[in-house]
Amino acid sequence: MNTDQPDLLKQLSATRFVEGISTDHLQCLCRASRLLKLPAGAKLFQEGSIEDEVFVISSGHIRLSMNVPGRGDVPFLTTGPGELVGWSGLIGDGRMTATATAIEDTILIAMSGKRLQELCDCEKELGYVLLQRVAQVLSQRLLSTRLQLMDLFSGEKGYT
Amino acid sequence: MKPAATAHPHNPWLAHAVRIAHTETAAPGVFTCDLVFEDPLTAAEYSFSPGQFNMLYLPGLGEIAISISSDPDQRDSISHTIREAGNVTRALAQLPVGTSLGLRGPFGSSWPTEDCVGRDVVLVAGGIGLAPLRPAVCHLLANRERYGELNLIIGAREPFGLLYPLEYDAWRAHGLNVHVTVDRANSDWHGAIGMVTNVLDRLWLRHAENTLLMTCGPEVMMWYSVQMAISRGLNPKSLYVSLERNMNCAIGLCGHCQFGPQFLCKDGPIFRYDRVASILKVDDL
Ligand SMILES: Cc1cc2nc3c(=O)[nH]c(=O)nc-3n(C[C@H](O)[C@H](O)[C@H](O)COP(=O)(O)OP(=O)(O)OC[C@H]3O[C@@H](n4cnc5c(N)ncnc54)[C@H](O)[C@@H]3O)c2cc1C
Ligand code: FES
Repeated sequence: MNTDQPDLLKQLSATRFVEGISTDHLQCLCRASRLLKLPAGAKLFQEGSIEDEVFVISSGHIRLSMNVPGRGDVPFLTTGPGELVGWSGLIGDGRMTATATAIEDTILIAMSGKRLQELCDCEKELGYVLLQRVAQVLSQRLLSTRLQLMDLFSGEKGYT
Repeated sequence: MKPAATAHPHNPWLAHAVRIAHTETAAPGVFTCDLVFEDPLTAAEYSFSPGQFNMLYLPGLGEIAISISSDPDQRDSISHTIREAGNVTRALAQLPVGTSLGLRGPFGSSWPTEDCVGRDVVLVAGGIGLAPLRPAVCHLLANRERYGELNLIIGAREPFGLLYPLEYDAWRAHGLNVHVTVDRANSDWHGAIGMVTNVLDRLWLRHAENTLLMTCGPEVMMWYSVQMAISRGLNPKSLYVSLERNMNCAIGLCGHCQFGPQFLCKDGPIFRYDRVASILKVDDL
C-alpha cells in the first residue's frame, strides 16, 4: 500500500486504460499500485531486465527502444497518456523486450504484475476486463507496427 | 465544403502562362516550386480555396495535377510542393527559375473550413499530404478566433522527410497544436516515433462529437485515421479525406477518374468520408 492513495486513485481513474472499470475494482487496482514520477531522460526499465511491474502512463511520454549491435539504441515507438508499457510484467515472464526512457517529466501508475495476477485470479470479472484491455493495447500496437512496416511514406504512389 | 470551382469561366482548357519564380528542396525527392502569372490581370483575378489543385503543363512532356500548397491570402505567387514521381515531375524539378509553363486551375473541391467555425478541428497529414493541408492551416490561423481547439498531426517516414519544419513554431505561436511523429529515427531525434494513428489515439479531445477531422496522405493512413477518429467518438459526417487518383481533363469530361456517380476531379479531391468509404478501398481507379 502506498502513501499517495487518493492521488493515485485520481490519476488512475483519469486514464483511458481503466475506462468503465468499477470504483471497487479501481480501489483493488490501487492497492496493487504506486505512483511513479520520472524526470526527463530517466530510464523506466532496461531491455533484458526482469521486472515485476507494468505501467500505465498518466502524463508525459515514454520512448521504447532496442539495442541493435552496430547501431546502438534504436528507438521504435513513443507511448503517451493512457497507454500501457512493460506488459511483459503482467502476461510474459517479466523480461523486458525494450528499454523505456522518459522523454519528458512523466507520471506513471506502476502496478505489481504479481499482485495483479493474484487479483485477476480471485476477482474473475476484473481479470476478464483487464486482460481485454491488455489485448486491445496489444492489437493496437500490432496494427501500428504493421503500418510502420508497410513504409507508407516511401513514395510509391501519389501522396506518399 | 465548397463545391468544385471552375478554372476559367469561359474555357477551362485554357492554360495560363506562369513562370517559375523560386524552387527549393522541401525534403529528399520533394521540392516546392513558386509560380507567378505572366499576365498581371490573370494574377489579380486568380484565387483558390484550401485543398484545390492546378493542372501544370510542361510542353512536350505532359500535364499533371498538383495541389496548391501556399496561403490562399498570398497574392504574389502560388506554391506547389511536388514529389518526383515520374517523367513530368522529374523534369519540373530540373527546370531553372524563369522557365515558363502552363497552368490550368484551380480545380476541385476544398477543405470544409466554413464547417469548422465554432468547432474543434484535427488535421492529420502524412508525408506530402501536408502540402494540400497547408493552405487550410494558413486559413484557420488567419481566422483563429472563429475556431475552437486546433490540432495538426504530422507523420513522416523520417525526421528529414518532414515538410515545412521551419513553420511549426510559428503555427504553434498562432494557436495550432502541432504534433509530429515519424516512422523511424535514431536516438538523436527527440520527437515522437510511431504512426499518426497512435497520436490520434492519445490526443486530448474536448468534445469529440463537435470535432471535425481532415486528413490527407496515403490512403491506408487516411483509412486508419478515420477508423481511429470514429472509435474516439467523432461523427463519420465530420470526417474529410482527400482522394488523389490519376487524372486527365480535370473537369469531369473524360471519365478517367469516374467512380460510380462521382468524378474525383470535379466532385473531389476532398470528400466527406461517409460518401466515399467504399471508394477508399478500391485500387487502381
Ligand atoms: C488532385 C491531385 C492532386 C495532386 N497533388 C499533388 C501534389 O501536391 N504533389 C505531388 O507531388 N503530387 C500530387 N499529385 C500526384 C501527381 O499528380 C502525380 O505524382 C504526377 O501526375 C506524376 O506525374 P509524372 O509524369 O511525374 O509521373 P508518371 O510517370 O505519370 O507516374 C509515376 C508514378 O506515379 C503514379 N501516379 C501518377 N499520377 C498519379 C496520381 N494522380 N495519383 C497517384 N499516383 C499517380 C504512377 O502510377 C506511377 O507509378 C496529385 C494528384 C491529384 C490527382
Ligand atoms: S479527369 Fe477527366 S473526368 Fe475526371
